Order: sequence, then C-alpha cells, then structure tokens
Amino acid sequence: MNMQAQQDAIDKYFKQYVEDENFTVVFISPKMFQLISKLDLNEVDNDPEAKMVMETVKDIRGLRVLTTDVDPMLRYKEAMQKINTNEYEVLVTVRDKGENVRIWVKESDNVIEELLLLVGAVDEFVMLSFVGNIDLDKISKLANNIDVKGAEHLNKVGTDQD
Amino acid sequence: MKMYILLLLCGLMIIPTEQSAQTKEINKFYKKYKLKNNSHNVTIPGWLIGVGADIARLSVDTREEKESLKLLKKVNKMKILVFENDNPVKDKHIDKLFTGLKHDQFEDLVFVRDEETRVNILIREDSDRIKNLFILVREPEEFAMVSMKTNMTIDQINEVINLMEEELDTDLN
Repeated sequence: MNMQAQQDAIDKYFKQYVEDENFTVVFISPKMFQLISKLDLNEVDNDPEAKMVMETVKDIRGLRVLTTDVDPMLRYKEAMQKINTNEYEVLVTVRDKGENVRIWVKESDNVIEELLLLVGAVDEFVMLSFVGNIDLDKISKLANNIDVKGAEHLNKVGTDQD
Repeated sequence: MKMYILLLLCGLMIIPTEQSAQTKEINKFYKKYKLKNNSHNVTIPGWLIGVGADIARLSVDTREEKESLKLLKKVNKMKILVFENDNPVKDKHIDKLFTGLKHDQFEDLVFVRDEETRVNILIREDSDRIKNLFILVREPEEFAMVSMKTNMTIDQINEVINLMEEELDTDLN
C-alpha cells in the first residue's frame, strides 16, 4: 500500500499495528482528499456544515485510523510510551468514565502538520492521524462528523474555545 | 456521512470511458487466474455496456439514475474476476500486481482492512481525467477484482453527485 508522502506517527512508531490483523485499518490517501477537494457540490453553497467540511478537507493530505478491541488499554499504554514527545506536543488530555483520550500535534514552522488522537477505553483502542496543513479550528468543527470513537473530543482542539 | 457517500461513489461508480487498454499487469494477472477452478470472470466491451445502459434507462425514473446510466454508455471495457468459496490468489501475485500498478502510475485512494477482509481502491489520473479505476476485495475464501478504463472528469462526477443530492433533498421534502 502506498503510504502518504508525509510520514505520520503511525508510519514511524506503529507499523506493527498496521500489519496486525487484530487491528481494523482505514487509510484515506492524499489523492482521495485531492479529488474530493476538486468537487464543486451544490450542497456546499447551501449548507454551512458541508462548506465547513469541504474547506477542512482541502487542507488534509491523508487520514489513517487504526482500531482494535483486543487488549485496548494495553495498546493505549503501549502507544503512549512510543510517542516521541520531542516531536509531538500534547494538546488535550481527557479522562471520562473509563475512557482515556489524548490528542497530540506535530508542528513545523508554525504549521500543524499532523494531529494524532489516541483513545483507550475498556472496549476499544483507537488511533487516528490527520496529516496536512491542519487548522485546529476547522478540525474541531469536524469532530462530530467523524464516526470514530473518541473523535468527538476533537472539538476541544479549536483555539476559540470558551 | 458526506465523506462516506463520496468515498462509496468513487469506489462504486460506473464511469464513461474511451478506447484505452487495460494495464499490462492487470491483464497478466487476469489471464493467470481466469482459468482457475471456481473462477467467475468476464470482460465486458463498451458497446455491450452501452446497450445495457440504454435498456436500463428506459426503466428508471429519476434524473439521477438516468444520468448515471448515461455515463455507463461510455464505458470502453470492464474486467471482473471473482472467486467464491475459495480464494486461490497468491499474496506474491498480489504484491507483483500492486508493484506493476504503481509503476503504471496508479495511486491509492482508499485502503480498508477489517479482520481478514481487505479492500483496495486505486485510480490512474491523467490531465484531470480518471483513466482507470481498480477495485480489489480480498478475503480468505473470496476474491473480487474490478478493473475499468475510463475518461471520466471530475465535472462529470460532480454532476452525478449533485443530482444524487437533489434527489435526496426531493425525497426528504
């Protein structure tokens, strides 16, 4: 499988999860985002939410999601130890009813190149990585449109939080 | 949800094509496996797809369905290879196929793996036209490959999606 041109945390630290059949893997390539961003949908003009989604998509160059329900908390602890804290900065930490969520960003020249979400819960472990020129405000608004456990916590990453 | 609809559309849409050969690696792979036991395979020429689309258009009602079928008329060639109850395809041949596809400028769109099911969708684009679409679905006991040649533009995809949205809005209101 062709990897994103921009290496993400999953490429660097979690390749073994990609090969592990206990994990469900979803990869949306830069090409796919490029095609989507070229679409000129009527709905975008009429629906602010659709417009917001399309504006966010324009800046994303790849998305990868890994999930498993096998030893999820163990995977979460394992993953937490692997993240290079010199490269990734914690943005959000949440612990809520047995669900642990952590969101990291990787920044370069004042541009957020990657957003990494880790969720460790009793029933599931989730790792989600967006790569591109990430606008936190746009991603935070996208939170409820991503049907992945823990993704709703992305609404906390925006800079215009109350 | 919107993203999901767009992904499905890219993966499942039938697209207009002009005369253009299937890639060498796809042809080699197809030839290698089409004669295996339990193989279901078909190569559909464009004219036959066009005739089918014309017939189907007579029996559909919505503009969205008619426009989608209109696109079918331009399909030049489609290759389909399916194995059920037994998947004899070797991993090394899949690897070689993907290497060949990348060499022929195919690019990944989507990859999904869930337990033992793997889905790959790739395209080859040239001057803002999608020239080829390739879909592979693999399970231990089943296999499906669909390869199409196309000359679809983003505008044409746009048109169908906008029609789908219009139909959806009409149904909801």
